Amino acid sequence: MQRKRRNNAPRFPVSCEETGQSAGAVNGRRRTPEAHRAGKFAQMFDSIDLRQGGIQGISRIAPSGNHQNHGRVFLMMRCVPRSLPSIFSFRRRTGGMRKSLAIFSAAIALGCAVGCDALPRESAGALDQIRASKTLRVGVSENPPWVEFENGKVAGVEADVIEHIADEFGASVHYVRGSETELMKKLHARDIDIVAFGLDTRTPHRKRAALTRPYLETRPTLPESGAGKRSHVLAVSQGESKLLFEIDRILLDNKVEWERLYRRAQR
Amino acid sequence: MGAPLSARSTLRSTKDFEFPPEQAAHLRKAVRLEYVTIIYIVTSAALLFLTMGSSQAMRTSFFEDAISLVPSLVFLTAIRLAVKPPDADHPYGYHGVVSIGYLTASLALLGMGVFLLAEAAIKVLSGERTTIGAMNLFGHTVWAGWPMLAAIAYSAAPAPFLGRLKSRLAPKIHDKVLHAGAQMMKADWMAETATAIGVTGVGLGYWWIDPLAAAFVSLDIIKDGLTNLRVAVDDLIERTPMKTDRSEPDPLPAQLQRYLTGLDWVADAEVRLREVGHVYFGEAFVIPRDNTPNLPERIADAMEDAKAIDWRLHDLTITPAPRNNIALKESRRNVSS
Repeated sequence: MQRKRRNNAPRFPVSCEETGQSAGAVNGRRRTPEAHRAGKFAQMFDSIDLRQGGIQGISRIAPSGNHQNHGRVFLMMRCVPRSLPSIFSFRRRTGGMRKSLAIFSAAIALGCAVGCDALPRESAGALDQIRASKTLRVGVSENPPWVEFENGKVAGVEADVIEHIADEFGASVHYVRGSETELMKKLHARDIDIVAFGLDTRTPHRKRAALTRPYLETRPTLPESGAGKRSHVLAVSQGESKLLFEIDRILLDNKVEWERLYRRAQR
Repeated sequence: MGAPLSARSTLRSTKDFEFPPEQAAHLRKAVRLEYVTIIYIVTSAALLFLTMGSSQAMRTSFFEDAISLVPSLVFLTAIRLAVKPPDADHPYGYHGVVSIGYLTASLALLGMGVFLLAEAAIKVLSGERTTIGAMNLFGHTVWAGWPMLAAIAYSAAPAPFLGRLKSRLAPKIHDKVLHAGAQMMKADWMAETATAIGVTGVGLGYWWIDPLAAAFVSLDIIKDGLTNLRVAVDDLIERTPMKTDRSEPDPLPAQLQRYLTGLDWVADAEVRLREVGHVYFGEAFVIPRDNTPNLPERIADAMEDAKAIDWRLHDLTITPAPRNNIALKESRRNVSS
């Protein structure tokens, strides 16, 4: 649907008074549709008190939160196309696109403004529970050299990785042994927090669990083990983004350590 | 391709088609814009692919981006083929390829939308929950949602501008494929915002917002596919021409009828036109006044002069009809009903 462009539409940059809520007469005529919409948008911003909760993002754009600066939010978004190369001979937008761009920018800004550190959060609070109970429930299944059962204790490369993670969370490890299928079921039911049995990124379990980032990449020494390199991962229950994020962080930050453990296990 | 035309076959085949100079300039601009669009879409799809991870909404956005290449490619291909001169095997020329390309693109859109909707539904029903962990970005470990949002912003921000530029060109060369691509790009921001909300929702702990956003985006793709499918089908079943943006019927048939009835040797006239790609083909039935001399020459002249009214009128056949012609009355009844 084409909108008729009005030739008396305010060209930008214009002063805040023309675009903001107080726009009365523009060029001696009645308020143009664009100015009217600009006013409406400024009203919308007024009605949302974004300044609660440390919204650094928006406040950088509108430091004092009065009408003038709400108008400026608008101006910043309207000023963007000025920088487009002139070979496209782009002159002006109509109100519809301004509004859509404003809504989109507001959505992104709101997302960032909720707090860069506040994301990600969890759905069922698994990490908080681990920290509170000081127990990390781990499902293991024998798979040398990643997981080995020696004298009733769990050892192996991934056991050491798990111990490191548990230390970071300030928790002790509670091992649950079982077959791969059983463990995945328990993980899905949230009876355990994390599984480790030599998973790699090609595991068929990847649909039912959230795989971590690879902590190690290996090349199979025996030709029949399958072509190409393997990326080794652990798995946590799906939906726990914060837990996954923290574990990923630990795994990614200590890659040197995991390599060392692997080489030690090879000997 | 068939044998080249002989000199006498101007009666049999339609003439070669060329865009007039003004339209040719617009066309060159449109082609340039389409190349820019293709480069932009390829880069933004690549970014989305690299960051999408396990988020279904991001995956859907990636596919939506990839499929929006199709109208651009269809436009560039059809533009080359459609202006090929007619030959003995193809006396109507090759304009119809535009309609075929448009139909294919619409079907592709519709199919992809349905597939993605089904995928999102299956994922939810099988108990999969979206989890977004960390990502290593140039040596820093960040939450993978931030690069996702950045990719979304890159994918969404320039789209409305490009879309607006293209939608201004489309009526000037009467290109529905360009118009369709422009509409999709202009509306892209809504789908990308939904994906951004999906990713943010997962970050806030509401994993279900992600497949919901994915479903929303796939419904958007389906809507695009259906709207364009309707237009493409209308084209192929030779509906009366509409304006490029489908807002109202094209005034050209009425204009043409007024012109023909205004000729001094014409008592009455009736016109029907159909769209074939960018151009119109049509037939006019005229009732000449009694005892009009040199009727075939007058008719031939009228055909040439009528085509000069509008560049889109590529081929017009004028048929003389006797007074009180039942066929003419029938056609009038069919047209008015």
